[in-house]
Amino acid sequence: MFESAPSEHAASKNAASGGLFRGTPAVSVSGVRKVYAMGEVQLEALAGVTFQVERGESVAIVGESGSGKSTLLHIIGALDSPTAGEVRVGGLDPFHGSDLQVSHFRNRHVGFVFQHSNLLPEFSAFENVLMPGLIAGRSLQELNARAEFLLKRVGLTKRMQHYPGQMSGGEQQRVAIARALINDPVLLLADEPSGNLDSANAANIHSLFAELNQDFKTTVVVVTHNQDFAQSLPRRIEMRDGRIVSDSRL
Amino acid sequence: MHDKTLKGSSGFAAIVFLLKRYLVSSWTARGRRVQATAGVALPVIGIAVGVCAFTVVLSVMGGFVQGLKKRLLGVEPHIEIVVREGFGRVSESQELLDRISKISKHVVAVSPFLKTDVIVQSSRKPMTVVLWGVEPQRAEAVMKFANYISTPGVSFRTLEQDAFEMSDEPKSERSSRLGSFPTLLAGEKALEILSAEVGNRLTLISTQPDEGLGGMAPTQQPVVVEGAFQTGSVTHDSKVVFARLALVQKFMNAQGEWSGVQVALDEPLDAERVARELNVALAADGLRAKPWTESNKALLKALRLERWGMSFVLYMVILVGCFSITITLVLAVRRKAREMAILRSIGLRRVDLGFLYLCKGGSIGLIGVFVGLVSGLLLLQVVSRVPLSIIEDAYPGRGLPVLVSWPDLVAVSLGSFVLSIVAAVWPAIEVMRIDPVETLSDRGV
Repeated sequence: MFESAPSEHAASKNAASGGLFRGTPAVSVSGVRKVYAMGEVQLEALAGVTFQVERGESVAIVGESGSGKSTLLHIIGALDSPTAGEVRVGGLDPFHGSDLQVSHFRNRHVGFVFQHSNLLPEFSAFENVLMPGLIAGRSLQELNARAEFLLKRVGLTKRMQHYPGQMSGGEQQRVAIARALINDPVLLLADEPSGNLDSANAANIHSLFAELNQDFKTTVVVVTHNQDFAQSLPRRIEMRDGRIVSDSRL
Repeated sequence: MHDKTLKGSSGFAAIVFLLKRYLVSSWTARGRRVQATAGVALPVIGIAVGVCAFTVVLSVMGGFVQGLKKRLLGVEPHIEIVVREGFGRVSESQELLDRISKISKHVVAVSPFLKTDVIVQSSRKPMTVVLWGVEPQRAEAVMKFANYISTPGVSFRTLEQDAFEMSDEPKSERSSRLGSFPTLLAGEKALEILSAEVGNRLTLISTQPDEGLGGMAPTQQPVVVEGAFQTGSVTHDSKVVFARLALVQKFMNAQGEWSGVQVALDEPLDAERVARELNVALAADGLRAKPWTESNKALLKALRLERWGMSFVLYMVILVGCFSITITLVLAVRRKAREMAILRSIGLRRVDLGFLYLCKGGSIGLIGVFVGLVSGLLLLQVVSRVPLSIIEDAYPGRGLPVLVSWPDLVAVSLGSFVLSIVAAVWPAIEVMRIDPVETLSDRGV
């Protein structure tokens, strides 16, 4: 059990029961294609991908480099748009709104963790975690409590006021995870979250994802090359040449 | 399908937070000073230098122009009333003077005058001057000439029409000093050209011959130089002499005639408006009012042109400062592309990022304007107090003349602020084009 902040209870309710449309899958991907045009050459990164992720599920997407797994993750998180097909997150189609609405979707319903921590170097760990909440227009009082809770939760109680340049890679990635959770998203997406870490730090990050999935009931979709991490998750989707070649559950 | 639950969010609080950090806190953060210097201080200095130069140059120019106008208005009437057409004369009329005084409440004094070109001959050489005949009391009220008379104890009032007639000075003393001739006031430069000095006898010779006993001959009138003046205006100092109106009327055989009437106003800058009023009222008399701005049209136009030219050059300086905003912000977009992509990935809109850069440009402009104004005003304090050898002749023992025009400074500040926002438009467009996937992904695809 973890200590909980006042805002944490309400927040995890959103993730567990699912904000957006209740009863819908956390992620529903149907016939998604992604084609990049490079001059006259067309590169098909995704060739009709279909799968669903239920709420609270943890899924690893594995595959060789260039298999389309990161592209798929970016499309699910509305960072990129599909050439064809449909993607819904919590029943919501993010690709038919304005930039304002897509940005709101990314801000409120999805949390991203990248291979590089991608923290803002001018801001402390605490401020980095606050940022998505500020963009959401939430009150500072509420955000402070939530950010403090999350940073404690990822084991950075004493590093809150440190800047990214003063932290190790593992610590930076923990801050990135806390930032991804500040707005209590339906879905946590991670693209090679331990790809830049040594094995000890990588193991810590892997176990942290598992704990967060259990504690917050947040749906987690992770793209990884790390076989240990992939096998530790209850579901494993393997991709090759833009297609799903296997989808196995423990 | 467009879902109603897909709502918009406001990133304003985040923008303020980001802006504050990028502008202020990063300046103080350890290890980021070089970055902050390039990103904030250099464009701030660029704008500040432009605004400072604008403040100093225009204020000093304003001071010079004010001094020039002051000198001009010290020796010239604010309005001259002359005949509407040709070079005719106005008939002497007290009623006309009274009427002019009552046409506008801004008229504070009127003075008739008669002027003509004459040759003035000293014992060594002749020269052509304009002889002004004035009524001393009235002329003193119209022209602030007393300030420029360099001979002690002399004024318009001490001018003699005929020997011993007008002065309160004991006749014997005056006679021994000046002789028994009418007197005049001459510019110091004119006396220098004539190689004459105060107390010397001169001869006025009319340029229009008169019929005398021996046939056509120019009228001659011996006079004595009672005093000299120095106005700082070359035209006046080298080309004008003053005498009593009655003397000039007699000399020109123009008794009962004036060249016109000089008018003094409570506010010289209103001369054009008051002249219009006078023109309406005096149209039936065949007279017209000529404001001082018309008499000095070429000079005023040249001054205006100089001011516009100088403003244009100084705006170019500010524009260069604004270009430095564009360059540094575009570089910042390149340098911070990854951070901007992160902000997009966590929910900041394209327009929010654009707005952030416009605010950054505007803030740099605002700081630059403030620094430029303060430093410009401080510099003005210095240059207005410290005597400069190059202007010693014109402004002995003091610094440059300064007239701060606040409306001009407000216009420059606002203009610079707007330009600095405009300078941030390109960087704002650049930052809005950042594709988070391209930027954050190691392989781009």
